[in-house]
Amino acid sequence: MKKLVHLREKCLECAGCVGICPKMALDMYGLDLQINHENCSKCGLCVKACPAGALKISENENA
Amino acid sequence: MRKEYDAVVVGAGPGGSVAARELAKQGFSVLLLEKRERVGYPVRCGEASTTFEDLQNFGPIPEECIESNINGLFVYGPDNTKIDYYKKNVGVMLNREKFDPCLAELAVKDGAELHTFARASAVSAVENGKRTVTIVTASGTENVKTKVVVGADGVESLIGRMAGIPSGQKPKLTCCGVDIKVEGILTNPEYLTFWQGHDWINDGYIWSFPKVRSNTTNFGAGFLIPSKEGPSILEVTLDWLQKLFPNAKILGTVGGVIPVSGNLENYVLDSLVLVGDAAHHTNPLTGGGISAAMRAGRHAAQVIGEGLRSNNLSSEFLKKYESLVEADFGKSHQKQLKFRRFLLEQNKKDQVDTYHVLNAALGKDGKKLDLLTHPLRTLRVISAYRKFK
Ligand SMILES: Cc1cc2nc3c(=O)[nH]c(=O)nc-3n(C[C@H](O)[C@H](O)[C@H](O)COP(=O)(O)OP(=O)(O)OC[C@H]3O[C@@H](n4cnc5c(N)ncnc54)[C@H](O)[C@@H]3O)c2cc1C
Repeated sequence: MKKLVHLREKCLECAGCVGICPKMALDMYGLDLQINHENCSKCGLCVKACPAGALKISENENA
Repeated sequence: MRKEYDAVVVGAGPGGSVAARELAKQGFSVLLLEKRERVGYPVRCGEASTTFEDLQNFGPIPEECIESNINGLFVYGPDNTKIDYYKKNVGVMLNREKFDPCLAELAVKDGAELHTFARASAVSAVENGKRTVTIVTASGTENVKTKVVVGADGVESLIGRMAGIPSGQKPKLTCCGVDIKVEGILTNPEYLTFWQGHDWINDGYIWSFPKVRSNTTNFGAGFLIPSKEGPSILEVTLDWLQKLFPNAKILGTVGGVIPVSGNLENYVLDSLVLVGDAAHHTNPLTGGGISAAMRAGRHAAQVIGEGLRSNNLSSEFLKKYESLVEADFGKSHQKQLKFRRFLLEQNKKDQVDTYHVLNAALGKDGKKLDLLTHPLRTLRVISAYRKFK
């Protein structure tokens, strides 16, 4: 199962991904990125848009 | 927090703070919400802006918010071309860690009620002329009623989308950027310096902006979101920093996303308007959006004020705000958008020609005569631009 993963240690907390997500599946609460996995379509747009490479789509739930 | 306000402004960036202040000044009750703990922190910006005089229209802005005075722009283009554009007092470098809180304080002084650590998490449809905003704070969730919502929530632009405006960022019309704070002044302290074109970053630019007061430089880059996955813009920018200034000492890094689509077509609904980045008010050529957000905030407050007084906050009425913005900077942003698309779609050879013509026309060392001694080049560039759709 594919899944969007947030790499906190790389994140610049800019919330750019929130605005780019076409499904409104992301929101930033303080320093935390909240991912609504049910709404996320794994389109990868946020992965390309993230200035810091802090998002990735992993193939494996536990990756 | 009260149960009801005339206006609820979401986001205490430059757009939201100005809108809140201008509404409060007219005697309306205004709630200004900021989800971050500290207004303006962390800064996500290159901090270059308009003239000190312009800024004072939204002031008083104390001197300490100003880092340096800018007297020109220097652009390194492809094939060793460059544009040295000199214009005295063309703008300033801001310190937004001080500037953004200063705007918010002015709003509070004039009567707006500011809450930080307060996130608008939902906006209802209009019921009996009012919307309900759901607000999450450290102490719980509250519902507040209001006659009008100002969505000044920046690039995240969730408020507009919750209410039904397609204000999200479009991949091909959005930039991602980083700004690296570096010790000392890397480039001419009176100039904003840029690198753009096929030898540098073609679908965006690299910048070096001097902050003289704090003796640091904002070194950054922004480019259109790439269509394929690749190295992150942070990695690309760090590479350029290393190449151009191998001894640079990095103090910190911020990132962000910039709407460069030109203004949204519609950004008002019944009892709701969007302001600033949320309405894509950023300049589509430079990516600058501080001053546009403030101007839009003021226009919005003017029209909303009229609407509150005449009890009409229908989208038809609020369209007047869109018209004010269009006349103020919407049309010029359309031109800037056209120029950006023109420049980025050019092959290297044509782009080099464009840089020569631009420097001859605008550059301090450019010779206007060059436009005539190379008539074909000049005509080629002008006619290509004219034909460009
Ligand atoms: C890397 C980078 C460099 C830039 N460089 C420049 C530059 O040199 N010059 C320039 O003019 N512009 C620059 N910009 C653009 C500039 O930062 C923006 O255009 C400007 O900040 C827009 O102001 P705003 O008030 O619309 O939004 P913002 O300043 O983004 O303010 C929005 C505020 O709303 C808050 N918020 C969001 N959602 C909620 C919610 N649900 N509830 C409560 N609060 C919320 C946010 O925390 C934020 O504080 C740059 C941008 C980036 C990313």
